[in-house]
Amino acid sequence: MKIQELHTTAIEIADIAFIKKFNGLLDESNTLFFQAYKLEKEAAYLAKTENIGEPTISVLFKSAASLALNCDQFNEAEKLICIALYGEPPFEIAEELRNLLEELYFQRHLQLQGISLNSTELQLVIAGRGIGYGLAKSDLVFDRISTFEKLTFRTVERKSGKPFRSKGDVAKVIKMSFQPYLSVPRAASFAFTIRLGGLTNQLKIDGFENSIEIIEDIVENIGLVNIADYDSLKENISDPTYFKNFVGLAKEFAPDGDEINLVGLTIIRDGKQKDVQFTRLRSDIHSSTFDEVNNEETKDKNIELIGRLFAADEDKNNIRLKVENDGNYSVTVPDGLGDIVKKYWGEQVNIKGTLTRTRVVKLTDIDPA
Amino acid sequence: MTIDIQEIIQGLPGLSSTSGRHLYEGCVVCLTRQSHNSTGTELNVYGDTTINYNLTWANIFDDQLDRTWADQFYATEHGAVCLSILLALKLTNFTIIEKSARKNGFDYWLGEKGDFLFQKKARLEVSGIFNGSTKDVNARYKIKVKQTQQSDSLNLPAYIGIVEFRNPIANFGSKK
Repeated sequence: MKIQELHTTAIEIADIAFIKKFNGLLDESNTLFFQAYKLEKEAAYLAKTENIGEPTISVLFKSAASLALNCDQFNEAEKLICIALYGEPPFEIAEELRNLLEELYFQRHLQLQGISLNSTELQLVIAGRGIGYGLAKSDLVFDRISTFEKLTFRTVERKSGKPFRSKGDVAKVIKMSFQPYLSVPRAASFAFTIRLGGLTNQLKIDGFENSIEIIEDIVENIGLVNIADYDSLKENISDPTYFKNFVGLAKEFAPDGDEINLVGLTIIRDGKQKDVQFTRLRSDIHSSTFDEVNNEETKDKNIELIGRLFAADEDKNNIRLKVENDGNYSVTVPDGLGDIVKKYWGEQVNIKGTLTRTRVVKLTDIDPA
Repeated sequence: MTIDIQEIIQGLPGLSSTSGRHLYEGCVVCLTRQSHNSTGTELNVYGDTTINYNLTWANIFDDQLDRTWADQFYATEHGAVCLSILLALKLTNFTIIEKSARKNGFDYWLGEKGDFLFQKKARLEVSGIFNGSTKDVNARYKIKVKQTQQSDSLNLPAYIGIVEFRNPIANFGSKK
């Protein structure tokens, strides 16, 4: 067959494979992806041999590598990406090939590679432009560890039936039992093990068993945010304040798409490895989407401001925002978002909210400016 | 000006009718979940051209479709691809001529029938927002433009389509 015919046939088969995958028919999908990969690989090598020029050659190799990844032919995918990069791919295609390679290596890093996790432990892997092999910009890592700690304590409080804590510190018994402990980092993008309550005999808290349940709950719910299945997330977290808090913290934990592309979580459940690749960008996660307020009713009062957070009154759940050339605004922080707002104290932020009175805004979303 | 979304089911030179049907379902799911009317919903398009289209579709949404397309993120991406392809057909001289596989879907390549594989073609970059504002759409558009700006000298033109389903609105244009 000619290159065009090989490619067309490969894509027609891949079309069906993607739809089978969507319908959960994974074995059939895998078989079809394998057929499509073989044809697209043949088309790519033929294009290279006949030297038909760019971007055709690199696009075909990239396409073949993607199909190889879809049928778990990781070594083949790596070879195809490297061949494409060895040629003269246009910049944009080369960037996509590198991203694909990064994703491939991320898959490899998610494998535990000799590290054994027990069921109260979780492996966290971070990859992206801000992460070197075994080296990482400190704030990218520390922010996520701090967010993970908040997720853990909030999950423990929720699972033990406590109402949402809008003020005050975490109860000592929870801190002692569920404090995250970190292993030495591993050079796998940037990976480390987190154990809950690592150095003490865990105290029994009424309502649930131990850290295993907490770890599994966090990983499952982050997986739901990743695929935007908020209905299932609401079933898992029925309290609206805890729900808003979880989505807000998950947003802080998510990749920014700039310095971090991938955040991976690995746990052992029932003796088997379970991975969640958190790839949904923070810009695609909106706490405001879930407000009970009717969007149509408040549409005209929606406001977006960029300014610096400079004062807070914790008793009134209130912060101040200084907007250049526009003065100060008072921003009311709903229960659930306090954990997220604290992080941005003294920084330039972009806030979204609803104007409730003159210069008084009810916060719905906050992002670094 | 009316766009009957069902047109995509007929397929295109680089889009099988099976794939077209899949994209159509995703689009109908998004529009129906936003309570839009299948007999006429105004889509405000801006970017290279400002124009309002009246969208129509067959009311195929039912419990089965709702369950099948439970993943709203996936539905939004595919629904946005559906509308962007239809906008490309209306607003440019191109059609979908090639696809190349990505990990979770396809890249869409625009061109005139008969061009050699991926040569002298434009790319269609698409993104969807289920529930957002014009600001969100414009912000996403800027991200997409930024992603492609370094290939300017390499003759890989790019069209960008960002579709938002609540209002609904679309920012469709070529990278300047």
